[in-house]
Amino acid sequence: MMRILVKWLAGGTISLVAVWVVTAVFSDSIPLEEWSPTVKRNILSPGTTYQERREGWATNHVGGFGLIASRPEDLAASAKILIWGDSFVEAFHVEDSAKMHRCLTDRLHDPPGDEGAALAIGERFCSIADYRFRIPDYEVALKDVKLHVIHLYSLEDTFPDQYPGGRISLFLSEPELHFEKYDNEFREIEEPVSPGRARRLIHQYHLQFFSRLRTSLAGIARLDGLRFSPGTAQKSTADPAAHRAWNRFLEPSWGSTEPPLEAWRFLLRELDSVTEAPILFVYAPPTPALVSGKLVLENPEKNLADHFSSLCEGQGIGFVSLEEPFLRFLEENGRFPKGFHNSRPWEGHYNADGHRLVAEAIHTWIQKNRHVVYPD
Amino acid sequence: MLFTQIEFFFLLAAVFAAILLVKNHRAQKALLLIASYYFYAYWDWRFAGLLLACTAVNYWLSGLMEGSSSSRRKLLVTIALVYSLGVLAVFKYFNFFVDSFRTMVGIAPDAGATLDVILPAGISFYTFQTLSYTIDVYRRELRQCARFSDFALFVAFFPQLVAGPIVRASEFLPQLETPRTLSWERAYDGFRQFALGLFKKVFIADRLAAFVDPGFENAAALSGPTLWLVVIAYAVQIYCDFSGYSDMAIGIARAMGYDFTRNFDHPYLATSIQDFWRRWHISLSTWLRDYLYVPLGGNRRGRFRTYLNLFLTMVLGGLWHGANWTFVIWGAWHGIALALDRLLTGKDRGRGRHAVTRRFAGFLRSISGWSLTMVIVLVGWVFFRSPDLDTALSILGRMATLADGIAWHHPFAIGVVLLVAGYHALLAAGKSNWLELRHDTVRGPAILFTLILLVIAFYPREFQPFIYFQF
Repeated sequence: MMRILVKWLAGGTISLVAVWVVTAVFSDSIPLEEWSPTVKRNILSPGTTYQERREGWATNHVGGFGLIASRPEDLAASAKILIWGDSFVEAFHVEDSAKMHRCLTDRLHDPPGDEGAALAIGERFCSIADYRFRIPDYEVALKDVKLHVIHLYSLEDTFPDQYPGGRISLFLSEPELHFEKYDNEFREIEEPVSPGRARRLIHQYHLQFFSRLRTSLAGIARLDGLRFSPGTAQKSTADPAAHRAWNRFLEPSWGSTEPPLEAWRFLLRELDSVTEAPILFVYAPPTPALVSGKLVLENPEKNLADHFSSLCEGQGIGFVSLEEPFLRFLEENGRFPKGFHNSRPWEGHYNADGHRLVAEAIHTWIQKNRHVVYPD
Repeated sequence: MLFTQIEFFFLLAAVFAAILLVKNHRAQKALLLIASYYFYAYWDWRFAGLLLACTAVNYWLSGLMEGSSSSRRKLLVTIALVYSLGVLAVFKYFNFFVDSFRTMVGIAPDAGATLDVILPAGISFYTFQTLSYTIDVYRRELRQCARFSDFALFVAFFPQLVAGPIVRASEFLPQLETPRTLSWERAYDGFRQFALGLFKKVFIADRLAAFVDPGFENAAALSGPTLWLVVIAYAVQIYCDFSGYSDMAIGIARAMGYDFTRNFDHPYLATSIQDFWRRWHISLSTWLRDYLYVPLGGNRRGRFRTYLNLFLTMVLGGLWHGANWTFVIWGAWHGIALALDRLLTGKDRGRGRHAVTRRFAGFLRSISGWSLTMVIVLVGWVFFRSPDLDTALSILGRMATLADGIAWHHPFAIGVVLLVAGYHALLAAGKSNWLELRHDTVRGPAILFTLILLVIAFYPREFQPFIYFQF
């Protein structure tokens, strides 16, 4: 009996090591965060890495101020272009060198010269409301900001009263149009964080499995989300294709087809008021998309995007649409600028091609508007 | 309740604890019956009544057969068949037949008058299970079960209630007559089989669904080679999903002291389509053989009737899977393949009039038995998985012509397909000793714990019910 027990203990130990190795290679790592007094928020700890495995495959290096894939020379550049956005700009899914801001920096330096560097300030779930509050802090921290590029995936963020759950900062219309700041907002952590020793060990040795296991077991122990009483089944009428997260952008439900001109004027005025630097919107339509085997090429937001573009022009704010470059890329290559082979190669976040196309679009706009970006 | 739900593990722990604490055999069976009805009612308590009614009617009618005349027995078994199949028809096939009739006579299929009902979970399984008992009693192959509670437990026993295997009364009822012996060896065997099944279901099948589901949904845009990968991945998915459930069911029952016969025997090693059906969903194929094919005449009425009987059995077997023409076509496809297999390579081989036919049969067997079987099975899976015939034919066309389209090389799908192929190659080469996972070695618990931890580590975020729940 004792011999068998020893063998089981040995077997258990081997299995723990085996799962540690497998999860260290094949699962997303746990990010390390800390409070930054400079930009007044929790940021990814500089000098650490974050590996993404679920969508795409990349190891992200965190630079100064928690900016992903930012090199010391980029942070020291005399002219900086800041790209603001959500998870599309956070871009955990592609390697550092393929991210849009690094592609843009490469283009700015071709031919070699001192055209500055691009930096990405991306964070999942963030919206224009967050950028409006963060721009002043980052301008002070990073200095020499020559251009703010705001990346929009669909026009959802430009409509007021989205995200009723109040995920981060909000753009609200009641009682009047206004932005509402949500302090210490980083990923639902309400207090400034400081990574403890255990978390550092988990991060350093890729012990993410054990961390997640502990969280799961704690949830089970609390009986979180468990049901023990008999229930009644519901007849499913859901069309799986129509309710998929990415497809919601093809049937916008956040506003009417009428452009919310007043809200947009307010939004642009507010953004303009918080910075001296020029602003450029880079708009990515939800198309091209693939739904039930059919290509969707017509942008359902085209009318709205045209109105928003006109309004931007009227207020001296740049606007670039990626609709045409995306369609042309699909036509020429038979591939989508979004998606990965380990998720779906037609939807999701930008792949390396998508990042390159965004960088090219921004670069082309800068070339055409050099006098705006580099007035001296 | 699903085997992969946390709540189920609480139920399982409670049941095992109760069995260990309560030594009285009848009390143990009562506990199992209560747990089984709770297991079913957890999904929808309203349908527990349907389960009870189906159980009671079959028990009552088979009880009336004792000492009755032949004609009365025939009447009683007919009533049982009409009732059981009638319930199945109403809940599962009513809308299908109404829509098919409308299409036939040119009325719009969605012009109202269909039933808006939920398909009761496991109705196909427990209907077949109760019918097998009633028919066996009618045939005098089985005596009436002495206790209704034993019969009710046979029908509702929670490990196999909602997705099989279809257990025969002649196998299970005798096990209820004597107290079960619980032992560490049995517990380990059960744990081993459960862990293997859990791994197959959650780690392989559920994660493959993330490739297979969008693959079929967007088939019209995918390239031919990608569709081959999608269909092969589906073959692995449905095997791991269904055999995984069977493994878990057999493992749980075994740990409790009850034995079920195996439901799968590495079907993708089959070298003929007959061989495939001896290995795939064995409890259903033997049920269809004993209660459909043989009563239709089996192979006793000449060659043509044999082929016709095979065809009809498989068509009805296809329809058993679901109320959709794709399942009927899938059954017919397998029926034709079985008939041809029998004609060319089976028992009728020696009777072939032409030497060419015999030589062709030999060629098929020696050169391409396995690959031909796999192609037949894969083509069948296209019909089985597709939402409609047009989609199935479109997919087959794109596969056949290696059509251009979006290429999707899903690394997990490719890796799993290669892993499963390697595993089968090892089995075929007779190198399966290391897969025994004995409890008195380090390797056994090491591999089993690793599989369980991998399930936890890579538990899919999207809920994936067992494929066979819909049947």
